[in-house]
Amino acid sequence: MPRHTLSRFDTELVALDDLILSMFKLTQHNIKGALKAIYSGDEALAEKVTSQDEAVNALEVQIDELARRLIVTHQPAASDLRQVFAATKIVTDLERISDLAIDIAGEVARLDVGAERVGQLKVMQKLVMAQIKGARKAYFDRDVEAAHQVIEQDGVVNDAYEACQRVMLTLMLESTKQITSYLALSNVAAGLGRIGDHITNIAEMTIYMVIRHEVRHVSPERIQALIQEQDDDD
Amino acid sequence: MTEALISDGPVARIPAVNLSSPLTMEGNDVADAISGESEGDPTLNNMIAIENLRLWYGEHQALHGITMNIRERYVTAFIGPSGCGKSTLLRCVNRMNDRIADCRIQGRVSLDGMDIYEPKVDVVRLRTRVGMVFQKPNPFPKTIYENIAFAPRIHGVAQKGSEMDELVETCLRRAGLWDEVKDKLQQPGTALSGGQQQRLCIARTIAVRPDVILMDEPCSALDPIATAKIEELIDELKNEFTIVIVTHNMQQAARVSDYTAFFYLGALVEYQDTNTMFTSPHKTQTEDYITGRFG
Repeated sequence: MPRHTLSRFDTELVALDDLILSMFKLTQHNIKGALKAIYSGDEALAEKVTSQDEAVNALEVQIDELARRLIVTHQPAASDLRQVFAATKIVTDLERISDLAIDIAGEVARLDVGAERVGQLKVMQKLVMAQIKGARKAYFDRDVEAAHQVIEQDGVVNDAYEACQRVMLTLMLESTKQITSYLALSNVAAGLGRIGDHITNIAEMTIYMVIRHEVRHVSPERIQALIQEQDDDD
Repeated sequence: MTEALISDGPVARIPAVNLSSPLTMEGNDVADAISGESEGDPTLNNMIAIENLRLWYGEHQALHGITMNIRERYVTAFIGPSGCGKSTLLRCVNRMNDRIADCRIQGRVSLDGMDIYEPKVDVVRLRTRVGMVFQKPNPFPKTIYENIAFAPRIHGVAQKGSEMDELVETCLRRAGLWDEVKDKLQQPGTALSGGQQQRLCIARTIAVRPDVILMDEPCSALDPIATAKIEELIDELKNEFTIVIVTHNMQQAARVSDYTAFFYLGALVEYQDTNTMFTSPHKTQTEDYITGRFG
């Protein structure tokens, strides 16, 4: 993209992305830490994850503030406007993801069975971690195809969640004494499912930012068609 | 005197322009544009139709085959860098370029179906139908009252006395100026502030009941409050008039207009509904211009 006539504007847009990158990294770190705590039963680690949420919250506020300043001082239009708008939406999702990671970490205290007993949970973990990694890459590479893959992956996460819940239900019926633990693991799975939804939102905003089409509440097939149309226009 | 060269052949019917699609109307694209199959929205009437308009100042070609329709009772903004032809095009719509000695025009500009460059067209009458507001307020060196009454009297829109008083009051009210000047109607218009003078000029323009109001950077000499008052006025006037505004202020174009046309080097690059133009322009040149990455 050509440079802005006012170089400070470009500098501030780069700063906006730098802050979003920091927020992505911290959020990924928190999910990873929360799941590690679940699998290891490490309550200290769970506490650490919880304490790191403050940094995510601070980043959210900082990004919103920078976005407001950009709007007031530069009145961005077109792709710049979409970038600033997408940034404010994405940070909300990242903040919610971090909150969900804390909720997951909070379930450690209720566990007295190993999480590895529910194999489907591991599947969900891998899917969600891949999803957020993909969403981050798609955002920073402005790669709509990659973002579309992230959206498609959400269906797989949802399927894994349902499978996970079925397994959990069976385990609860088999060992009623450990129902609290399985309920906790069920919450972990639900948290991962919701994280997947927020990651999908991020991918949708990435597509909007890049190809200007609003793709929220649109089927993955229609999104693919819009991306194709855009490619044809270009 | 301007030489208005209109092609002798039959003029193709202009389809209603589908403003939801990007338009690039330069050079050979014009033929496609006027023979297209788009029917547009039948409920929307095009007040002004510009077909393959080319204009030269001496040897310099300032407009390169502009084709566009301007919708009735909407605000259309012309944007683009200095020298892109937006003011030149605006001035074609009420034949202001006739006054420029070495100006030549080819193509067609129609007002509600009438070719305004036909020899039989009375230019004075045309300018009552297509009023103009300039960058710098230019009230007559007369009283506030006379600024409004002068043209209606000449054109027989209203007679002296109560009928004229009523017209003056109505026009000043519609221009949002009545409360500020009602006690000093006999004072010179030039004694008003810049913003008030511009609203007086707008009141003067609407006094002859035009169909179209052309505004050439009407706020560029005004402070933000006066600018806001003019913008508010534009918003109200569009219920009755077709407004075309040239502005360098893109935020103003985004605020006041329904449609926006971007010009560059005498060509129409993109013509869109304003929301699309400022959030998702289709052309890279437009994108670069409105994001400040031009040149």
